[in-house]
Amino acid sequence: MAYADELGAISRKPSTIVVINLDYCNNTFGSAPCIATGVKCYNTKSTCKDTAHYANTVGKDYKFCKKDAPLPIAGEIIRPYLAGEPSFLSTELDQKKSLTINARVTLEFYDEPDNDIGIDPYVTERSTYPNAVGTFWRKLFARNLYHIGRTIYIKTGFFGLAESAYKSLKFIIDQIDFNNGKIKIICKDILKLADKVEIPKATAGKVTDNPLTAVATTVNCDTTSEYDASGYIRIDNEIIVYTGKTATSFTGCTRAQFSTTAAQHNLDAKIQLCYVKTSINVVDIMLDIIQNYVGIAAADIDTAVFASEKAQWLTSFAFTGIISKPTKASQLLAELQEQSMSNIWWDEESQLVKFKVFAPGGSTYGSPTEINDDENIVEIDTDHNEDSRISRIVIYYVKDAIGDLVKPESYARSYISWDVNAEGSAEYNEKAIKTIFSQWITSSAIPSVLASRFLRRFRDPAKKAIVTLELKDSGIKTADVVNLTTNQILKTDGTALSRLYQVIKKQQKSLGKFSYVLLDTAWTKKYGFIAPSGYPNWDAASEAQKQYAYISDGNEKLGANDDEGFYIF
Amino acid sequence: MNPIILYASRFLDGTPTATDTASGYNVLNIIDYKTYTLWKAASVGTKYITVDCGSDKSADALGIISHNLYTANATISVESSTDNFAANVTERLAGFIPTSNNAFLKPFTSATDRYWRIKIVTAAVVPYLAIAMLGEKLLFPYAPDVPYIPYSEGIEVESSKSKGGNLLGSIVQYKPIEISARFSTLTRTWVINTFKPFWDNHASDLKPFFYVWDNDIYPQFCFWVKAKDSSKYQMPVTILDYVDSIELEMEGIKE
Repeated sequence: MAYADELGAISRKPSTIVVINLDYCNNTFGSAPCIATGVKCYNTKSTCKDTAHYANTVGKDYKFCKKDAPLPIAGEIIRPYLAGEPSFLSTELDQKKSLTINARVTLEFYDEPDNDIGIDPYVTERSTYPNAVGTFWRKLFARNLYHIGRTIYIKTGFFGLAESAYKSLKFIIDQIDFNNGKIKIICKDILKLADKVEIPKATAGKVTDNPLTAVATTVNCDTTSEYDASGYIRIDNEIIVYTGKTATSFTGCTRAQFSTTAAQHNLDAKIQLCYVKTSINVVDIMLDIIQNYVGIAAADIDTAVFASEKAQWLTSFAFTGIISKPTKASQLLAELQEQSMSNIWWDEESQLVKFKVFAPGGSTYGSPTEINDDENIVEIDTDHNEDSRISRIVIYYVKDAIGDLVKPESYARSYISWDVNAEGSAEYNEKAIKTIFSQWITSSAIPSVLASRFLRRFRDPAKKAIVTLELKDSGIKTADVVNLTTNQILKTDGTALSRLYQVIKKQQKSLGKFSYVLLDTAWTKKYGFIAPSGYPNWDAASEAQKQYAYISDGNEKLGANDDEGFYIF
Repeated sequence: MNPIILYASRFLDGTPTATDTASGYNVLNIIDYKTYTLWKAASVGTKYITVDCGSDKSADALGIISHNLYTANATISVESSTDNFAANVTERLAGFIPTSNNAFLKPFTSATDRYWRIKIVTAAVVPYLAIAMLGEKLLFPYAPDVPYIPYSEGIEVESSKSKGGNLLGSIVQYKPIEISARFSTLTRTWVINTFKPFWDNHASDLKPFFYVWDNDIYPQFCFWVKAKDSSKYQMPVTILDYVDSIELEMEGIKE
C-alpha cells in the first residue's frame, strides 16, 4: 500500500523514524590524503588530527525509532531509543501582525550503553574493544561538538511501508539537554536561523583621519576587510556612499546620502556598514535576506511560489530601506511581511520556505477543502477573537535615514484610514488602532492598499475555530484555506454557517489526532481575476474559463441565470 | 516438548568472525542482545559465522531472531570442528530453510568441540540477522501449569469519531507481549543446579533470551524475551524436597 492508502484506511499502525545527520569525514585516518598519526580520531571535526584534509560532504545518518514498537524497517540498523512521540509546537501565522512564529519540536531519547559498532569507524582497533564503555548519546555528542544547526528529519509513516514512502519533516538542532538517563533534543525550523543573523552585520572599522572633513571623498580607516567592495557606510549621523575600497580606505565617496548632513567626524569614529535597498520589490528584498544573509539555499526555498505571489499581488510594492544599525534578520522579515500582508514560513512537509500573500486563491478561484461535522470534525472550540479587530490604521512612512524606528517624528508622511461606522455608537463604539512604522514604504500608493486590506479583514473580529481532525485529514497544512461548516457557528437563521477559514496553526495532539487553529478570512464575496481577452461571454464560457472574473450587469449578476458577479479584492 | 530457554551461546566464548560483512554492519552485532543491530553478508553464496571457543564447549540448540532467512530462502546448518574446519568438519544440525522471518529455535543432539560455526547458503537475496545463539538449551522437566497462555499481546488503540457520529479512523500502537509461566513440583536439585544459574547469571540482569513453550507442536511461538522488571526469584520448598512452584514473568516485542 502507498502512504495515501494507509492514511485513508480505517485502521492503521503509525510508525516514526528520526534521522539525525551529523558531519562525518569521508577520509580514512592515516590514509592519503589524511596524514594524521597516533590515536585514531572518530572522523569528526572536533576529533580530527589533520584538519587541513578534513572533508565532510554528506555527513552520517543516525536512525532511531520508538522503544516499545517493532522495528519499522527490516534489515536496517534503527536504534529504538525514541521515548514517545515527538512533541511539536508548530508554525503559527499571526495574521494581524503578519508574523510567523517558528515551529519547534522536542525529541526525547533514552541513553543506552553502546558498543560503538557501526558508530566508531575504528572500534576494533581501540584498547577497549570489544567492550566499549559509555552510553550512546553522551559519546556521540562528545565526539561531535559541532552539532547545533545540523539537520534532523522526523519521518512519519506506517508499518509495512518502505522508508522512502514516509513523510519527512526537516528541522535543525537548536539545543540538547541531558537529564536522568535521557536526552532531549530541541529542534527549530530552518527560518530560526534568521534570529541569529544581523543585517547589516556589526562592523568594527574606525576613522583614522584626524579629523575626517565634511568634504573629503576618501575615508581612511584602520581596516576595510569586513566591508563590501562598494556600498553605503554610516559615520555618526551621516550616510556616505563609496564606489571602491583599498585595505585601509573607502574611495569615490559621495557624502550626505538620503538627506543626512555632511559633517566633520573625529578620529576613531565608528564606521558601520549599511544595508540599502532602493526601489526594490518587497519579495526580492525578502529573498535577498533569506538567501544571502540567513544563508538558506535556493533548493530549500519555493522560489516559484515567491515569484507567482509577487506577480499576482505585489508588482507595485517597491520598497526603499536604509538600515544603518545591525538588526535581526527575523525583525526585518517580520516588517516586510506585515507591510505586504504576507507570511513566510517553513513548511516542514515539503521542506521548503513558503510564501503567501493574504489574498483569495491564486490565479484560479480555488477549491478549498471542505471540513464539516459529519466527515471531519472530532472536536471544535470557537473564539470570537475580539482582540483581532481593527477599526483604524495609521501608517508612518518615508522614514528619515537615521531616525528612531518607532518615533512618529522620524517620518515625513503618515496615512490614516478608519471605518467610521465600525467606531460608531451603533456598532462597536470603540476604536481599535493598528500602527505601522515603516522604514520601507516611500510610495504613497502602498499605504492606501495596505490599509484597505487590513481594515477589510479585521473590520469585524476574525473568528477563530480550533478543530481537532483525525489522521486521515492531516494533509491539510498551515496557510491552507478550508471551507468550514459546523453547527458550532451559525447563521442568523440558526443553520450552520459555511465560511472560508485559513489554517494558521497545525499541531499533532496525539498519534491519531491533529489540532488546527483556523482564522476567518472574511472572504465573503466571490473574487476573481479579469479574464484574458478573447474569452467567450459568461453563458458560453467553460467552468475553467469562469474562474476568471467577468464584468457584471447593473444588478451585479452574470448571464441568463443571474449568477453571482465578481468583486475586486 | 517441554519449554526451552536458550541463553548461553558459544559465540560469547570467543570473537565471532564472518566470511564477509556488508559495509555498515558487523558480525559482533550477533552477540550484543540487540535486535536492531545486524550482521549482513556482503553478497549471496555460502557464508559462515565461526567462533573459536578456546577449548571444547558443548551446544545443542541454535536460536536466531530478526532475520530475513526465509525471504532469502537460506539453508541453515550448524557444524563443529576440532581443527577450525581445516580437515575436520562435522554437521551437527542438518540443513533447513526457516518457515518465516520470525524467531526460531532449533535443537540438535548435543556435541562438544572447540570450533563451531553456522553455515548460511543463499542464492539470490543477501542474508542478515540480528542475534544468533548457539549453545546448550535449558529444558524444563515439565510443561507449564495449566491453564497456560502462550503469550498475551497488548495493543493500544485510539479511535476517533466525528461530531456527526461517524468512525473516522483508528490508530493501533503496539505494546510489549507478556508471557507468564508457572512450573510446579520441580525438584530442588533441578532448580538449584539448572534454573538458578540461568537466573543468577542472566535473567536477573534482565538480559534477553529465547523462550519457546512447545517447540515440537508450536515452533512458531518462539520469542525473544527478558524477565519483567518486577520479577522475583522465589523457591518455595515442600517437605518432600520438591520446589512448590517457580514463576517466570517475561516480556518482549512482537515481531
